[in-house]
Amino acid sequence: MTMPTNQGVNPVLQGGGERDSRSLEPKANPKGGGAAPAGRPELLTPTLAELADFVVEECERLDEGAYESWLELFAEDGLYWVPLAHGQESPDSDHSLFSENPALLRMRVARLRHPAAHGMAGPLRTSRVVGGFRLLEAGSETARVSARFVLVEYENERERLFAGKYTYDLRRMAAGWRIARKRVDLINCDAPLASIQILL
Amino acid sequence: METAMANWYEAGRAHASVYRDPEVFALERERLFKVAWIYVGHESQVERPGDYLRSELVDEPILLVRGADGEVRGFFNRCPHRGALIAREARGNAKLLQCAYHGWSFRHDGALQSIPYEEGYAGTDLGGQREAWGLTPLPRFASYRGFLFASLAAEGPDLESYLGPVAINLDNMVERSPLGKIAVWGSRFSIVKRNNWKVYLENLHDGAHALPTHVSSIRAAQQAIEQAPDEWTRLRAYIMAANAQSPKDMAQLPVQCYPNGHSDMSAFRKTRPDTPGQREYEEALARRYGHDGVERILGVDRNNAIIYPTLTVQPNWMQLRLLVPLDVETTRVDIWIFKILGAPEWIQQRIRAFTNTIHTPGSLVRADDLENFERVQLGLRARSVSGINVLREFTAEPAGPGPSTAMSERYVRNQLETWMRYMKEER
Repeated sequence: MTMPTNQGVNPVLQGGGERDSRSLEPKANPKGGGAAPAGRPELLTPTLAELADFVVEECERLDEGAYESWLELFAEDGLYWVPLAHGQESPDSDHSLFSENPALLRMRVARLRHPAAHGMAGPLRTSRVVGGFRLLEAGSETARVSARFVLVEYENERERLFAGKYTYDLRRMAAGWRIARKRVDLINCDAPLASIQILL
Repeated sequence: METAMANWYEAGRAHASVYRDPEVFALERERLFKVAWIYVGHESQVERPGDYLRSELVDEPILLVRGADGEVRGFFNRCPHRGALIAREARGNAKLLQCAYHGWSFRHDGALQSIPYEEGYAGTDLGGQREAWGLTPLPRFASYRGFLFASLAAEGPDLESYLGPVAINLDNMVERSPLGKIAVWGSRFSIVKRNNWKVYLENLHDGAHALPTHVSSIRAAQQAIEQAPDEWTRLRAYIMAANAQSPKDMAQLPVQCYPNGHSDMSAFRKTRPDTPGQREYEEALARRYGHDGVERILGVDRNNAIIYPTLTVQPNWMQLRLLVPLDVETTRVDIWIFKILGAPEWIQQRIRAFTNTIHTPGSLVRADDLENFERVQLGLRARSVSGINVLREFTAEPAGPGPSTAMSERYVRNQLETWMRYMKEER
């Protein structure tokens, strides 16, 4: 078992680093102007920069192997969805490479953490670069943002490349922005693939 | 060859070269894969006249086409002129099959339709024998209840006698439909495995591997069952937790060995839950088959079957897996899910829940299987050591037709005995 555990890997993820640990908290858009009504700060539409920060943070948690804190970013009725078909309309319109709610994702993480997860015996590490952020919809309560990604997986002395597009449906909740759905469109979703143990 | 054929397999002991020697693999192609009946597609993939499907017969490109007469025919997917693929895309519909290179075109029955500048062939044998210049038909091609098989051997047993009793698994898939009709549903999964093709087949009814191999997903799934927020999450966790059955439980699961290397395994997972959805489905089935018919059809309860050498079936979950051996250490597995036509939406959703749990390359169950298959392949590289054994519940008589259980390696011996018979036969 060589995956880093959730504890003490990255102080940023634990909110102890130099980075603004409140970056995932709901906040008013400083450029939005306008005084909040008495009692509660006004929630304004998010900026692209704010949501791009969220995406970068989400990816960082995955690449650091901080799966438990990654799970916290999902709304309880959220969905992690990787279509099998290119341009697939919905998880109901075809089969999926992944179509998992937080309960199933917790099961996935529990298996990754199990000391006898044989598939995890060798090193399994990832690093991804995200860019090309686009704000597709922005409301005060919900937002949709997309990004292009390139992901390198390192497993048992082999590198494998994944590339494609992330599309996040986000919901503003008491604790901050949460993922209602993360859609991962792989450019080779319909190709023959070796086992995928990582979270894309 | 690493060692003489006589040393490859006998009485529950195999030589490791059977799984790692490229020369053995080359001989398998000639004596096994090019002789046996190989699954190549399903009729529902070429539903209308002019529909065509690109497929493979072992490593040879083929093309299945439905003609205006309703007949599905199989050809090699190559132009008789310079050999270019006729169909590049996975499937389509065309009035004429036309070669992209020089524009030769062919009718759905494979006959030559036209050649641009045909007068250029005056004086060649094309002029006199135009009918011989069509697409080359497959040596043998047959349908069993819509499942299409082909063989590169011009002679041999017909498909039905080749299948024998294992055909109950294909029958069962069709009979699960209240209309008696099933169709390929959605996209296919395709998985690359880093192991010899036999390693996967030899795992299919192996009750003894389930606990040690799948311990990580079993524990995770058992927790998830308790915390599942809904029916489908609970089902998906249960599907994985089924591997928790003890060796004693597994020894109760019947495995039947059949002639020609085929076998199947019954029970394993509960497949008739007491839910409104299941009741609705069984009522729909009863309208066609009667209540006795429903008991008979669902009582078949096969968890999986091997149609040796390259097809595996899960009738309870409406799924086929085709092995495509790429080289001695690499195997591709293509997986198709079938829709039960005329059945309520609930049962389709149930099949999808199983599919998205088990058949995706992201499957938690598969990840540990594939890891262990690869470990076998890597371990067998120790060339100084030759033997492996499949002796669990060994008996001296041939493994051939007969009953056993999920704790016996008899079905593996049945495969290896069949394999030896093919390999010994020169053609």
